Parts: sequence; C-alpha cells; structure tokens
Amino acid sequence: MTRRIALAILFSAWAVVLVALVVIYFATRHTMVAELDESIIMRASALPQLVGVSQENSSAVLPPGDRYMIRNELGQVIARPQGRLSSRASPSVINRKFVSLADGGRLRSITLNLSLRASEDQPEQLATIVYSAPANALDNLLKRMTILLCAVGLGGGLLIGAVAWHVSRAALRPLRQTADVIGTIDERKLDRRVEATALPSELRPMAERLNEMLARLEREFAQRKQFLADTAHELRTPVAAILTHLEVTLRRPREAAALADALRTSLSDVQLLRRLVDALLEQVRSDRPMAAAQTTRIDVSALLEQCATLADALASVKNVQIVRKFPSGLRAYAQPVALQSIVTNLLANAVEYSHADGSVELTCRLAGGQLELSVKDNGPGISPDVLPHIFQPFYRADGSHGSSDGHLGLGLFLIQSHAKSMGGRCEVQSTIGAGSIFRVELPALPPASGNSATINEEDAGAASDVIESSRVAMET
Amino acid sequence: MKLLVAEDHAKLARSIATGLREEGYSVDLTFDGTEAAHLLASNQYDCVILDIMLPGKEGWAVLDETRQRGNRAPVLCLTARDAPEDRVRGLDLGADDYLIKPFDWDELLARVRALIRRAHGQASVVIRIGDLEINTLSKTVRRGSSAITLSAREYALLHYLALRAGQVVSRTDVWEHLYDQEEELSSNVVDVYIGYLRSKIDKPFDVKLIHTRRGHGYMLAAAGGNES
Repeated sequence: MTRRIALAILFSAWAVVLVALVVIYFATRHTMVAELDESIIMRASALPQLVGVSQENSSAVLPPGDRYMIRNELGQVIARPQGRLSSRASPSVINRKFVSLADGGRLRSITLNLSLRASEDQPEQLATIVYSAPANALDNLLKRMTILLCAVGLGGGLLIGAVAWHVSRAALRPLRQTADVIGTIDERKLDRRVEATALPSELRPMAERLNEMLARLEREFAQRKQFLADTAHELRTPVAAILTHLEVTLRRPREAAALADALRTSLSDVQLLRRLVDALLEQVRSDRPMAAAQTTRIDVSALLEQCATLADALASVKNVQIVRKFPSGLRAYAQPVALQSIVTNLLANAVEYSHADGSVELTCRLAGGQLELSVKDNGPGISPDVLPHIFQPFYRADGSHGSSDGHLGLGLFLIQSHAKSMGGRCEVQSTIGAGSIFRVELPALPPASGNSATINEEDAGAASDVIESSRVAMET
Repeated sequence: MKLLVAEDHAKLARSIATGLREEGYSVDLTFDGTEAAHLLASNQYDCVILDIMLPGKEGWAVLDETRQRGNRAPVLCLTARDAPEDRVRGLDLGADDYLIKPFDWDELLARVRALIRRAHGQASVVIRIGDLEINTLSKTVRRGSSAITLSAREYALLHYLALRAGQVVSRTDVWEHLYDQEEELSSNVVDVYIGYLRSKIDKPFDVKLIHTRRGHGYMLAAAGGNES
C-alpha cells in the first residue's frame, strides 16, 4: 500500500516536472533562436550600405564566420548591390533554417528580400540576400541547458520519490498503529480500544465499528466466563458431597445398611451430576453455528403432541391437565432437536409450578413466517424482582445455591439459548396469583441456501437423539 | 470442642457433621445464613466451617457481622469459588482459612485441628502439662511412662482443659464447648466427667494436675496453686 501510494505520487509529480522541463527547454530555445535571427536580419539589412561603402573585399568587415550571397531580381548572383536600403520597404524574411557544415558546426541561414534603390531618383530594385551566421554559441548554450535540465529532471525524480515515500508512510501510520493495537488484543485484553479520534476521518468509521465489535466480544466473553465460573461451582458442590460422604463413611467400619445408604446417597448425587453434564452439553451444542444445518420442514403438531405426551406423565402426578391448543398438521421449517427441548422444558416448568389439579395450556400458530409458541400455567406467578433474572444460568428464585433440591437451574437458560441460536426469542409475562405465560417466537422459513448443504454426520446423529435429549430436559 | 457447620447443600453438610462428630467434636449444623449468624451470636464455637453461598444471608455477611461483634472464633471458609479475589475478600473479612470444594477430608480435619490449636496459642500437636503429655493428633495421653486410656468424652474434656491450661474453666464453658444442641444431658455431667478424669489421671500419681476452684470451676495446671 505504501509503495503503491508512493509510486503514484512519484509518477504523477515526476511527469509534471518533466513536461515543465521540456516546455522550458523549447521556450528558451525559441527565444534564443529568435534573438539570433533578429541579429542576423539586422546584419543582413545593413549589408548593402556596408558592402556598398566598402570597395574592398566585403568579407573583411563582416563579423567572423558570417557569410552571405546576394541575387538580383533575375536571380543572378551579384557581388555588390547598388544603392541603399529603401526607406519605405522593410526586409521581408522568406526562409530561415539551420545548415550543417562539413566540420560539424552549424550555420543559421536566413533568406530575405530587400528593396534597394541606387539613389532618390532611381527606381527600386529587389535583391535577395541569403545571410548565414555561425550558430555555435546557440548550440553550446542549448547543449549545456539540455544537460542541466536532464540533471534537474533526474534529481527532481529522486527528491519526489523520497518525499512521496515519506508522505505515504505518514498517511498510513495511523493505520499501522491501529494494526499494532489490534495485534495486542487477545481474550484477556478485550477491554482495549482503537483510538478513533487520532485517525483520519476516512478511517474513523472503521475504527468505530471495530470498537463496537470489541465491546460486543468483551460482553460475550464476560458472560461466558461467568457461566463457566457458575458451572464450575455447580459441578464442585455435588462432587464435594459425594467425596466427603464416601470418605467419612469409609473411615470407620460400618454396618451393611449404613454402607448401602452411603451408596444410595452418592448414586443420587452422581445422577444429578450426569444431568448437569448433559444439560451443559446440550447448551454447548445449541451454541454451535452448525446447529442451523438441522433446520428441516417438519410436522410441528406431531412434535408438540409428542412433547405433551411426555409431560402428561409428569402432570398426572399432580393431576394437572395439559391442554393442547394447536391445529393438527401444522408444518414449518424448524430444528426438531432444539424445538423439542424448548417445548419439553417449558412444559416441565409449567407443570412444576402449577397448582395441583390445575391446567397448562400449550398453544402454537404460524403467523408471518414466524412460529409462535406459548405455554401458560395457572401457578403462583413470578414476582417482578425475580422476573428479570429467571433466564440466567443457575439462578434460583429462593436465593439458594447449588442443586441440593435436584433443580439444576438451567431449564430456562437452555430454552433461551436454543431460541437465540435459531434466530428467535423467548419472553415471559407473569401475574402474581394468576400464573405465567412463556412465549417463544421462532423463524419458520427455510434456512438461507448454502447452509442446508453443510449437514455433517455428527449433526445427523444429534437429530436422531431427539427423544433421548428431551428426556434429559424433562428432568432438568 | 464445639464446631458450627453452616452449609446449604444438605447432604454435604450432614456428611461433614457426621465425620466431625466421629472425630470427637460436638457439632451444630445449619443450612441457612441467618440461622448461622444467630447461632454464632449465642454460642461459643471453637471453630466455624462456613459456606460462602448460603441462602438467607451470604457467608460474607455472616462473617462480617460476627467479627464486628468481636467474636474471634476461628472461621474456615468453604466454597466452590476459587477465584483469587474471592479468597482475598474472605481473608480480609476475617476468615482464618479457606478451603475449596471438593476438598480432601483429611485436609479438612487437619485444618480444623490447626485452627483450634492456633486459637489457643498452641503451636505443637503435643500438649505437655508437668509430666502429662497429650498428643492431639493420635489422641493418646501419657503420664510419665504410663499410657492412659480415655473414652472419647473424657479425652474431649481433657483436651479442652489442656488448651486452657493454667486458666480457671467454668462449668458453663465446658458445657458450651463440649456438647452440641442435639444432646440431652443432665446438668451435673461436667462434674461426673471431671470425676472420671481425676480417677485416671491424678489418682495413681502423687502430683495432682486437676484442681477445683470452688464456685468458679476447674483448672488443669502443673503447679497446684491454692487447692481448696
């Protein structure tokens, strides 16, 4: 880039300089030749008087190297014109040219017509004079000027080149400095920003976009870091419980019943851990861009019916009715694994928080290319200070930590994670004492072409796990 | 020695309490921060095992409140968060030690022993009073060249008296430090156990180590002082 800008400046500026030098050369040459011509014409005009007066060999009185030839009207060469220059007529130049001599020198030769009269009473007669003067002085001067101008052209080129290089480097320095700053940024230094105000105005939008991107990445990384820290905490507590329980139990000889009890307790903790790991894996899977490749045209109604049947088993324990409010044969583009996880999680949640003998409504419709799902319960509702936090991972409304009650605190987080990865959204409305409605909107159109071609074996495998993963979600 | 275990994960808390009781400590157990603060305000504990993420009141708040009240009971913070800033915060708020979940059971026991020792200005695991030698690690007692066998309760009482050797220890102190809320004991249990200890430690020997201060309590000391 620097070289390209420098070369562009160099060639354009140098071309201007060279053209200027050529113009100077020709203008100077023209002026010098004109001066010489004028001097030659003066000398030629003075010739009649000169040679007329002098009776001797005329060449003796001419400047050295000058020579001439005079012809009369008839074209005869005459040695000496008779008369003096007519006062009325001025000499008219017929021809001017350079004549090369055998010895390498050059002459400037001018042919002009003069009207002469011998005396006042005699008629005018025309004479043609060819007057030549050596052009050595002019040639030398022009030669020297050519050398000088060539030197100026070359030196100017070098100078322009240096300046152009410097200017282009200076112009690109902010870009380089920006690149240096960007080069230092890694996942631990995402709080760094490019100095947009120091950049030329053309580069500022780029720097601002870059800073916006960094801010987004910083937020995203902070969220992930928090999620990871929370996950570590959630995994450590059951592990600590298992470890301590087994260590304390093994410290002394125990009866078979006590040992069996220790094993049972540890087993239930391990099962909790397994569910936690499954849920975390599901979350990680929903985050992958490849998940989009799973989008296919499916019978949404059949899938919802399947989810509702799974939830019926859970609901029957509390005598809760799951009311299906969706048309049959509803077909749309969706990701079956993620959609099933969303619906089963929402239903399990609703059943859990429903009053005994209550009902849970599952509705679904297709509108404007969007799949609109809702799950409504008539439970106690969610208080307004808890509501903004319920989609946070591991959040528990009662302020407790850890999963000692068997709840992972990941269900709603997973739902939102799935919805987001499909380009949709999930929101909740809740009234204390009346219940809550969770609404999920998902795009129901085929994915952009090109994506659909990238299905790989792993994802195909994941799609066949629909029932398996939704069973995990039910427990979550 | 009486310990408080405040941990909201019920299974973990019960395991810790069981393990500690089997080591001869009396243990109060709570799953809630508010109750932990309340117990700390009304009891004298020799060591507190405090989870940071407690419902009701966070461990930080419990710790801060306890130290503000001038309670100097050694506190071992138990947490699944291992970020350095969490440790620094805990130690700055007056925690004496820090243990990350999951932990090694032997390490927890060693740290509890060390905290109790340090709180009583005791650097070594072996306490010597005259020719009486108490090894707090192996829980064995010798006097001169003869080994003395003690029951768990007798050992606990001797250990407590030894930690406060040279000081008069009231019956209430003994009661407070040796028996937890789950036990129902008669009011003269302290005197009964002092009697047992005397018969094993002092009776066979000329120099008596356990002294009674009428109206005040008991004292374990090499030089008798004013016996009454």
